[in-house]
Amino acid sequence: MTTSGHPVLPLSADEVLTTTRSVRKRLDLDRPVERSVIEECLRIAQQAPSASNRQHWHFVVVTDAAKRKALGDLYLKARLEGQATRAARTFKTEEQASIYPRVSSSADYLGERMGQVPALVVPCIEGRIEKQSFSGQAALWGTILPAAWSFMLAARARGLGTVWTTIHLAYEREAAEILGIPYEEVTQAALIPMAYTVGTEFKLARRDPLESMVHWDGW
Amino acid sequence: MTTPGHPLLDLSADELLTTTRAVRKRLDLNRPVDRSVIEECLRIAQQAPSASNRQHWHFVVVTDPAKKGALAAVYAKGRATMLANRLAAATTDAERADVEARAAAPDEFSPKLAQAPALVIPCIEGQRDAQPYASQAALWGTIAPAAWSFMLAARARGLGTVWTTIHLYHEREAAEILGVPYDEVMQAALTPVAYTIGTEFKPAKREPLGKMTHWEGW
Repeated sequence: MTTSGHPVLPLSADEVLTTTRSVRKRLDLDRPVERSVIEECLRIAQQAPSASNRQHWHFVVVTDAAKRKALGDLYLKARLEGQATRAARTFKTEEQASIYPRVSSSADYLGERMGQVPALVVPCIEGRIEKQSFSGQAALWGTILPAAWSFMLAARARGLGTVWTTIHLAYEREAAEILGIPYEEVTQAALIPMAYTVGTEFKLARRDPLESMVHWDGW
Repeated sequence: MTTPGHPLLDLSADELLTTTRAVRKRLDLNRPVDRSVIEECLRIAQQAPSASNRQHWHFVVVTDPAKKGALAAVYAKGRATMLANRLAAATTDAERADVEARAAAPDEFSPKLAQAPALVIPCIEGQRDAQPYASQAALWGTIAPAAWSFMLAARARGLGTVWTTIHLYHEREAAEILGVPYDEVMQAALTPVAYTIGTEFKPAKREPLGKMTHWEGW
């Protein structure tokens, strides 16, 4: 597995972890993504841990143009409906507030094009998360989300860009119908568009000071 | 950041992603872990994405022996609660026997949490029962990738971790021990952090890819 069939960028492990950005405007919508490279990333994702090693994660991969368009339409609908909420959003720091318009414009760009991204990937987990106790929910999220993030990191190592989105879940049932997912038994966790990136150079992002998020020996 | 202060194992990104195992028995409980190496891993974790770039994640790092002991006790209690729930939900004799066997076996892991050099609890600002459900997905989608990046960065530095959630059966008690404001902040997991005994880990056996992958539809 570590001798990859697809070319891997010359990035160290730390570089992959620190330069896997949310890619929207630099997704190459014209370059197809091979099924084999997606499978390679999924095999790596499978090496993430799962609660009691149940491996009850699933990934729906969509390249069919009609289905991508249908999912893209759902995503855009949710995006447009969230406008009022976004306008009222508050931030912890001025810096976050000043960066947000750029994030938002990038998300608007993606909103118009989600259905055109070469591959859409929907990580799912068996069970309806909202029916579990909080501890049970944490175990389900703690199974599917590390695998999904490993998938995105493996993609970055291969020159592919992704971005973690969740707003289509406002219409999870409609998305389940489009994809044939048994809604009562399986919860969708995210919608990840995937494409080769335009250029492969990505930088570290500015982040809040470490002290604002770390609490030693207590809050 | 990419020229770290702490020695890195010679692992490619793919090797890192495929050999970060859930480490329990191979945690070196006697070797101290520097605060600075944990901070290095946390800086890497911060590079994960967050919903609307809000960065509303938090990491509580516990090295105080009394607090580690108290958290280990909450974990052990959570294990007992989980097993009791499973026993109550069991529908066959085989299931019941399985749960009873687990309950009767000695709990080797909980005491290790008390002895681990550090415990790390990733947290997120937000409501446990946030509605609609999509907004919970955004909360978890913020804290879980950062927590996993932390664990991957730890592995790259020879440290072992394991993602656990059963202390959350008694999350409020853990919040009291740590001073976490329970009503505003939810805990997502708990992992010990310790150097591993040996640094060689292999990819794990997994189910065939076809079982979990659905092309163009379920």
